[in-house]
Amino acid sequence: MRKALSREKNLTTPLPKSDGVPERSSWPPRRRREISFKRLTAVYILIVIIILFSLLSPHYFFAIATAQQVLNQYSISGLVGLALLLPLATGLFDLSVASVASLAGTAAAWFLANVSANPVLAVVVGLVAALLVGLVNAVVVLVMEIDSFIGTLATSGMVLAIATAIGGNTTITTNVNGSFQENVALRNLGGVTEPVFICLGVAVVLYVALQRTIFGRRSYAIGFDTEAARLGGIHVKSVRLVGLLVSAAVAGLAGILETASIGASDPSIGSAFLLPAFAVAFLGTTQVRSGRFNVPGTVISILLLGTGNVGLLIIGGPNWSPDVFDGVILIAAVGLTSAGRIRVLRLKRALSKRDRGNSTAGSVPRVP
Amino acid sequence: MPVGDRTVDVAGVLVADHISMSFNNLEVLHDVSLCFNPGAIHSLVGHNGSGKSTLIRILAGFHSPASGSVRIGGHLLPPGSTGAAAASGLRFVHQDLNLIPQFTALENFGIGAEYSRTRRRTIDWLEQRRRLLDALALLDETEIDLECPVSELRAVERTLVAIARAIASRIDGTVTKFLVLDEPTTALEEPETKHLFEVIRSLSRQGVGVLYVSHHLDEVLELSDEVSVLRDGYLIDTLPRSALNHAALVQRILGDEPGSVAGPAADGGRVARGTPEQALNGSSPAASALTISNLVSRRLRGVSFSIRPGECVCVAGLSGSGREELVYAITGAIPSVVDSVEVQGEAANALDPESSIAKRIALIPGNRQPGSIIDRFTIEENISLPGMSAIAGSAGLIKRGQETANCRTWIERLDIRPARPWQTCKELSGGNKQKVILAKWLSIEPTIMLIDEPMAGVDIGVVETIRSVLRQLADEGMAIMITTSELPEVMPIADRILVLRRGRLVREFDRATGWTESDITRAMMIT
Repeated sequence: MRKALSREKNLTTPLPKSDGVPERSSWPPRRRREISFKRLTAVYILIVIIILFSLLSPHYFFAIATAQQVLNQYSISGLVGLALLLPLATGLFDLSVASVASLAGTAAAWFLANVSANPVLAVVVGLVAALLVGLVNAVVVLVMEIDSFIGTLATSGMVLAIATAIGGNTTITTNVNGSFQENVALRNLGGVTEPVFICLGVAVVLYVALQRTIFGRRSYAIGFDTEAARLGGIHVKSVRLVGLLVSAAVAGLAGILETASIGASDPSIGSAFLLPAFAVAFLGTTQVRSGRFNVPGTVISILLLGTGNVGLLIIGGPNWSPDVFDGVILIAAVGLTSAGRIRVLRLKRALSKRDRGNSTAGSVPRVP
Repeated sequence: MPVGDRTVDVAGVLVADHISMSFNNLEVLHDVSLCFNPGAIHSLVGHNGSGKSTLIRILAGFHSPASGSVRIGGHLLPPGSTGAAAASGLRFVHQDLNLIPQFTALENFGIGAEYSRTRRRTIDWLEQRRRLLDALALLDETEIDLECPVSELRAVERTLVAIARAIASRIDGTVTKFLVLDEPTTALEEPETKHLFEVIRSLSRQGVGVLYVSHHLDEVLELSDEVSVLRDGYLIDTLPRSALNHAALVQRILGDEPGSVAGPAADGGRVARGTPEQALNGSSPAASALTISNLVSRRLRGVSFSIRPGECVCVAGLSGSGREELVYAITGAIPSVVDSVEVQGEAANALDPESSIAKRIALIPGNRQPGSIIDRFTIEENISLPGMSAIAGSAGLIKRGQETANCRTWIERLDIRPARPWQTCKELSGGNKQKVILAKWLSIEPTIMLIDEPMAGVDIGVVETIRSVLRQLADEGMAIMITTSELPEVMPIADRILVLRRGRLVREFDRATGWTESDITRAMMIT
């Protein structure tokens, strides 16, 4: 492959266009391609609602404690949203993430209560349980070739059943609310707890993986055009396998962190994550790198939804208002992006039609 | 002009009267007047781009003609109305049949027409079934399983279901007067074609006018009462059955002077070519870059060939001849079976897309083919896709400076516009997309290139660029195979031309011994 450069040199002289056209001396400057100000609508909305809530509640909302609360509360559901990015980028749905979170949390708690109080081992057990589900997903989706939406919906139900079976009907608190909770979830730096830093770390790793590595490029290629990816020599199934495994592991991590932060296991904890996770992942595609599932967009979306939800409760909104807010923001952000695109398309079509109409009318005389 | 200056409206006759049509200022139909009689089989023949499909689309009401009109039995059809065409008794069976594969024959039967209803306004399936069985009985076909998804039927059964639907569908209470069949035999084997012909003849005996469109001249000769020939948008001639023979048709399809279109001498001036000695420089003439024996896929029935380094081989064939599948079958991109493969003189296992790239074989679907280019990727992302490991460091991190530099080299080399590596490919013109596709595959440094439709959707200036790039690569020792439906565009750079017909290689033309376009076209069309 390295020889590619020498081959290009051979080509220089005889190729028709390159000897006639003078060497392009000045290329347009390398733009910051990743970040475009047009694609940061969520940031503007975030700024607007911060100002709005600050005016409505200057004493309670406009405080460091609010920022801490947003980060601490939404880092874990944000982590589930990040988990979805790899499968979604390769064109797969993973609906099992919420159940995987439940299973990993319950498995870790069960291990703490019944086997050993070692927090590191408990985390490992939780992650292994999550990865096993990832493998099952891979068998269903990649080997049996069942549509990912249906396949992971099915595994999701089964996994939740297993989690409930392990946890029994009681919540497990033995050894969970002690040193495990202290070490895994409650240590903090300036009021910002561990899960926030873990979420940030996962975000950075996923950002590099998606944006900078061959793996990420291949994932997007598969998601956009599986046929082109396949003809380009990409082994579609192995890339998707990695996506499903990483998704399960990250979702499992979120479940373990949630168990730790509330100090008890409950198989139902995961289910609350499902919709917000998809919401931030899809909202993220309208931000930063439009049309692609991307990490910065997802992080911005987590902050936007978190701030909105916390703010609404602080100013005394009813307890159903955050759900309304999430829905409205999702439709607004996606709608604005696609509506803008459609309007531009219509305009272009109208212009080209007018051009064509004029020219044909001019060149072909019509005889009645 | 068969119809004369004034077309005559006899009862029941379908008349296309002085039809002209242009797309983007390019005239594709030029004052075409035709007259189709009820109960007659009238065939329409001509090259790709002769205007056949446009004429049919105008009859069907998909397009409104720039000038001229369509009349049936003296009644003017409102232009551009599919509903009006159907309501006057015109029925169409398009090449792809327009059946929904997961639906049964019975379910497909109602689509696009009126259903029989019960008193409760639900669909009367019993009545539907009776009507479909009647229609099939009319076609001498009683064995089709109506409850089976049509995807599981045989090809000829699907065609018959589509025809039954066309003739028996009630649209605004009218019955079928004219049936238009567009390349109905593409998917059929020899005996099935015979069966279909029996059906067509029996329909015409019952007074249905049949308009038959086909590339296959032997079929047309066997079936037709009349044949109209279109060339470059002009109606050349309409021949009655008594005047029909191969020679007359071929001569009209190709033009008045067969042999003058292209030949070795005529090509010489168009593209600067290396001499044969240069082309084979550094490799013995006998060595082969790629040898394939007995390749079988859905449409290919045992194809064997060999390409030498420095050679540009062009494969021609009508649609349905297997030409569309050849390069994909070679590289295992579609299901295929092969007896043996030799790459650069070494025996190899059957190829797949991954191992092809490792062996420096580039499979290049042309612009507009599925999988050719990722529209939502930028130019640089598309170019680096197949050879990504070359620009990646440890841990698979892409060296983006190098990626952009490579991309800029290709942008300059092939004059890709706009010259922005981060331009999304969706907005590029066809020609520039094609250049990106070429750059993408040249970047893996291939020794063998298999290209499908390199000239599709590309404007004339870019055609020239692509031709000279390909010719030059061949002269430098690359082995190139091009499959194309636009033979004249590729002929000037071909060293050999292979002709596929019905899944088999039937003729081989060599530049050294000379060829003419009409010879090749004849080989494509006639047994």
